[in-house]
Amino acid sequence: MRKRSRLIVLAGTLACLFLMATFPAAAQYGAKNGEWRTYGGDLGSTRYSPLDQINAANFKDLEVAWRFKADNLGPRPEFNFEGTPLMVNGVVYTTAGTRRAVVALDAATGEMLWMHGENEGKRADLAPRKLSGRGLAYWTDGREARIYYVTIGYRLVALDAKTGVPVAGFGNNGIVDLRQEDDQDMDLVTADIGYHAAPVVAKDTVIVGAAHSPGGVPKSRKNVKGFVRGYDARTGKRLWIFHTIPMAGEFGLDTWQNDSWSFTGNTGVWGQITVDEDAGVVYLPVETPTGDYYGGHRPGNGLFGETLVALDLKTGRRLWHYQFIHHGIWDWDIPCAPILTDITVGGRRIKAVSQPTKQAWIYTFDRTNGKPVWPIEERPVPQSDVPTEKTSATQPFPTKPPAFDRQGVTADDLIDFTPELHAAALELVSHYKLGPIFTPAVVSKADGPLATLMMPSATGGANWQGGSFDPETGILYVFSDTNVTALGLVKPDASRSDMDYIAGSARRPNPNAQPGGGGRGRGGAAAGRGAAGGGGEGEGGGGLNVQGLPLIKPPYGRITAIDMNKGEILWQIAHGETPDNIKNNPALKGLTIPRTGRQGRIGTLVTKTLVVAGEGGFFTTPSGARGAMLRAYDKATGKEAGAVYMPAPQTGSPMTYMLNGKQYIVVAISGGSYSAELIAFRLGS
Amino acid sequence: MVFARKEGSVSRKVFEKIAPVAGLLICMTVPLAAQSGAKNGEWPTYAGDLGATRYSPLDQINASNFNKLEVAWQFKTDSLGPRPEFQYESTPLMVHGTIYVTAGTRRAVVALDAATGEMLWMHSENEGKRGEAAPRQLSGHGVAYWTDGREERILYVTPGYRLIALNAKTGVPVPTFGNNGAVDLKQDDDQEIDLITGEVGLHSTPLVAGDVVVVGAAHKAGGTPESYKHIKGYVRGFDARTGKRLWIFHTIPKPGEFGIETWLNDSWSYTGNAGVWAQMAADERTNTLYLPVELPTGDYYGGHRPGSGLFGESLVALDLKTGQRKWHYQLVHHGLWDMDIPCAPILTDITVNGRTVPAVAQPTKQAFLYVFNRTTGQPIWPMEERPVPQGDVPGEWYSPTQPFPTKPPAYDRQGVQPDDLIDFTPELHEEALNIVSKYKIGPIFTPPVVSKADGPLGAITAPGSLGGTNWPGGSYDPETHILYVFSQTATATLGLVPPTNGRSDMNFIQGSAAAGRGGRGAGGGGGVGAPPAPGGGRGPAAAGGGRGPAAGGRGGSGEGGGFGLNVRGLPLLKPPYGRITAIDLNKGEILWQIAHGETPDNIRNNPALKGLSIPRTGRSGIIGVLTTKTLVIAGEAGFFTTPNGQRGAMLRAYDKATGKEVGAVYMPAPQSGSPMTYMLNGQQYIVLAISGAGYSGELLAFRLGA
Repeated sequence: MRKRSRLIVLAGTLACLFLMATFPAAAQYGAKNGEWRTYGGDLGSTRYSPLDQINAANFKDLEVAWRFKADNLGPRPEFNFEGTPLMVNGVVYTTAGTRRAVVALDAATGEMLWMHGENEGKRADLAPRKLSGRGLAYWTDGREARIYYVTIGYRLVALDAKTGVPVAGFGNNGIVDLRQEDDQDMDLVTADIGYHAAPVVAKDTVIVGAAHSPGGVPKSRKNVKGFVRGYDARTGKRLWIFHTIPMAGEFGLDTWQNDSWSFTGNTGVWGQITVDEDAGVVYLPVETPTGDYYGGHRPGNGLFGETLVALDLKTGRRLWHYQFIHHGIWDWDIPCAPILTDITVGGRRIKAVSQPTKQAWIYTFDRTNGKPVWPIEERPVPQSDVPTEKTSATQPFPTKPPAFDRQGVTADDLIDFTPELHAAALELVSHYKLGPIFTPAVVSKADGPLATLMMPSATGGANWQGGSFDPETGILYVFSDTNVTALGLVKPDASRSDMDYIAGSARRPNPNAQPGGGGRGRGGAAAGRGAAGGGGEGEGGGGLNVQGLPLIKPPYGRITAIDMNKGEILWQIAHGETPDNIKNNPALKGLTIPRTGRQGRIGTLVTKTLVVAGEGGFFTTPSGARGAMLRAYDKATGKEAGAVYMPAPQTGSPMTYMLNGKQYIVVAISGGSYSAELIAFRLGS
Repeated sequence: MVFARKEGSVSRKVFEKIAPVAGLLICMTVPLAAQSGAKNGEWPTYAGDLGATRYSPLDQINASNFNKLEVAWQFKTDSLGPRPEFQYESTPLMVHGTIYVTAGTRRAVVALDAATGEMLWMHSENEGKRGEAAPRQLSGHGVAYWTDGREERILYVTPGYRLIALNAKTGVPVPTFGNNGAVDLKQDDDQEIDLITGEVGLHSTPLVAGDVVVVGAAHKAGGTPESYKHIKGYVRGFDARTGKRLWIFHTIPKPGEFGIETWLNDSWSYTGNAGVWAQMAADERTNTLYLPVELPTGDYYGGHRPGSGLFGESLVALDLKTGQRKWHYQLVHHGLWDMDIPCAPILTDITVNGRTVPAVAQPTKQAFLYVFNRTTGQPIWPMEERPVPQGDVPGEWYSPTQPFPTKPPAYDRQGVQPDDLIDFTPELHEEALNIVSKYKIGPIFTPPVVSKADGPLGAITAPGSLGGTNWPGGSYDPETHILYVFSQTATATLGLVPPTNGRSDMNFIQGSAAAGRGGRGAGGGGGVGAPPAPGGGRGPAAAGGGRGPAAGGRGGSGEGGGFGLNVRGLPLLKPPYGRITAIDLNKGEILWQIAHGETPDNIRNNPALKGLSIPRTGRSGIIGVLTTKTLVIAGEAGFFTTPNGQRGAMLRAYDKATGKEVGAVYMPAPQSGSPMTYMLNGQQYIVLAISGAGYSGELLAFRLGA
């Protein structure tokens, strides 16, 4: 008897342990049940799935299960497909095409089950965030199932997940006009506001942020504000609004001097939003206020610009916030989803939230109270000499984990494959101002400095794709670009802007594009907000190059694994094969250059054993075909475990699911002249 | 223009009211005949109009600029089904700036922006086992459009044989039509049919005329049927508003009905097929429907169905509103050659001996064009019942005579004689003679033989079981009264064997006594290429293809007139292997005839022809033609190395008066549907479905550059 009861107790304990081991009931558990129900795999934005059928031994044997071409989901094909599909109950849902249509596909075959598109005419033509966007949200009450997405023209649409037909009982025949009921007046057709992120649904609340035209050369210091709202998932009724720029009488108003809160706009949330559903808390990554590189019209710290904000899911009330950059003038919008990370630091279990950023820091907080897990120190930073700009005396510096990419530009960061190249680079930068992180923009002068060279660039570091987190090991993975932006300011013609300064160069006083940003232009569209001008396939130098080579040393793109229990970098690797234009550069003849990695907006997927990510650009692949590889790394060591050919670079972020005993990896690819496509891999039978 | 556009849907009452004012305008812009071609720059029915003319008076694209056509848009159909399709046969419709078409292996329906190809909506029906068991799979031939001026609907038939009505604006099934938008065609058909496995379907479009939706029936290709008993292919009319069945026409008569005496030994009771799988035509002014009926069960053996077997291989005129037979004409008595009437009869108002006659002209597999007064069913030119060869297959019943049209002349080779055999060199001709010595040859209507290992292995007939002409039919110019039709020159090998291993309860099925020649297809070719097979020739294989069984993969890009029988890799028959014929219907004479299609690579590069200069051979295939104000337009049926060095096929334009080629543009794959045209925002478009080995189904739209 005794023995038996003991056994039972033991069994019970074991079962408990097992349960705890397999079902840590936290939001960041990863994608459950072989599905992928939200943009980030779970509402904690981990991009983690415990699936393990595809592993190091067989990754290279992956076969194309199906492809889905998005060409006809709009008036012209798309070449920048950034979506991550969802998979629920054997159906893949995604936005796609230049109309941002929604399609439901059979997850085994890619067969289209239904599609829905909204032709918004001028309203969409004038919208700031076009193309297919990042995706959509799924909701069910166990009986009814719905898909939510935000149109190019900024309307929230609810579709029946079975048929794709708008839900009659939601909003106005399935649609909520997001340009209404926003606590500000805006033109329904011409207003500069939209959204390309996926809405988030948590506990019957649909949360929608806001995005605007990239703002290096704004037409005006005044703009629409990017408020965040919660809607009833059943009816479309607005439940709450959060003013990312406080209104009179609200907290933080004092951080806007000279009543600048009243006219300043932007400060939206265009990155993905994260929710701790158990705690009922929403985490918002807020962007920069109007004027990406000049803040003279908005003196003060400017809450909640570049601030991580925690809200109550039900009421939209602020619980806590932390401003990463005071009075930001580097376009270091918080670009991606905060990640819910349950970690163990110094033996203490902490429910944390970790925020990857363009500036290559992971900011980590106790998500219940907003306290930094490791000290974040306010340190003095270089001050601006632009007349009428008033920079913040200090900025917060996380002490842990270390930055995952280069910060600031010194002579040591410059290309040094050969002494000649280094000398040429030094000559080039002599026309620019260099300095540590937070060195502000300068007024561009033809005889120098032309600009401040800033690193990471205005597009990161990390960008919209964010990171992934392994809840079992506490390791966070993040891809980042190593690139510079040339930050110069010029006075605009009055006809062009009422700003004192806009981004530009004394050598090209009226640029059409954003400041000399990232190598890989993503023409015009939903690209990581900000400075994506120009560049084509050559990359690495932010427009500045030395004999066709990037100004900065490689790697140009990397994946970093960070042990969040210790706040330390576990490994870091160059991600992406050396681009052809570097491999074949005559200046490097005879040199052996290790893999340089390459730039991109590269989202990573973490599974039981692998980190999976595609390449950001075309190259001549091992098969001789032009294309890009989808690569897998041993997640413990960063060692490459396999790679498969894709006809075009990764432009969305990969996701995975299990169906009929087969694990699939699906990723959106596009680029160059290769139009948007979902490509699905699985192992052969 | 707006007024004219609406004319077609104006009710008679309203029409009478406005007629005095607008009569002149209407007369000028809208010749009231059914065969006036596609109106107002649209293409609202499968063949442009209900008279099946495939004619459009558009003229922006002409001889001087055809070569400058550019691709306006492409629409890839891969994801409209569980796997890509490689045999895309649809002709899209264009109404009010929107394209409607079936597509993909699920036979989805899509609406596309006609200017950009953007998908506006899609609808598909997953019919599970019922769809998988269906005799006619893949994307079919298209959809029908209906409007009462207020509401607009798209109607199509699923692979599982259900008639679906969709809201043309949204693609959502019309709840008030049938059962939530669907009518189960396996029900209410005057016979018992298993809802899942019942072997009946349709890949043609329904026909919509005068608020009646007409639906035919198709079965599996029937050279080797499992049984002499089968489901019958009746034709039904449904109310376009409600889906209610209005009438049924028994293509095989029931007791007490006209024609039952043509079925000896009660064979009407169990014989099936005799469906209408081809497109139909309608004359809305006279409320007359014209049905091209196929042959009854047993494509090459009719011993279980003695008698001439009405309405097998008959052209039947019905009252559109009641389904009552007005007249009929049997083109082949007791058919043994799979000479289904494969395509739409064409309504042709012609002038014969100075008299205008409302006529109907029927292209056929056998390469005769049968022309009748469509009011009375009387032949325009005499059709003579002439004695034909009689066979000796045990149990077979032979018709002593068959009808022979005296005019116009056949537009392709009929029968096989030594003179028809390849003669590029005396050696090749010699070899061909040697090959055919093991077969029976003879004139048209030479019947199949029991296959014997020491000969004859079979009867070689031409045209083959796929025609001549097949499902795309012809095209007719109502202004000049000239009819254009593509035909292929090919043979079928008709041998019969008793079935083995309980494969069939037929006395005979198609086959060969020679080892390895036993396959299904008449003339064999390369087997039956499974539907998805990207490499598998363009045989209609399992699906919507010309009903012909014979379509066993056409062997990739190698082809020519011989199908299975070849001489050193060259077709058994002389070229041309594919041709377009222009027939002056006022005179009943051939105006011109040209080889259509560039010489295939495997012929051009054949070592046996080294040093010879071979004129363009044309190529075999199943090709629909489009006629416009000045041009006849048709794509090629197979891949070849095009002038720019790329693998592909050309879309060609001919001067419709002379047949002279006036231009050609590159396509990445052969034409597999039939081209159509429309005008939108001042630009004329030509759209056609292309596909083929390794190249999946795609709509390709051309227009002139800006």
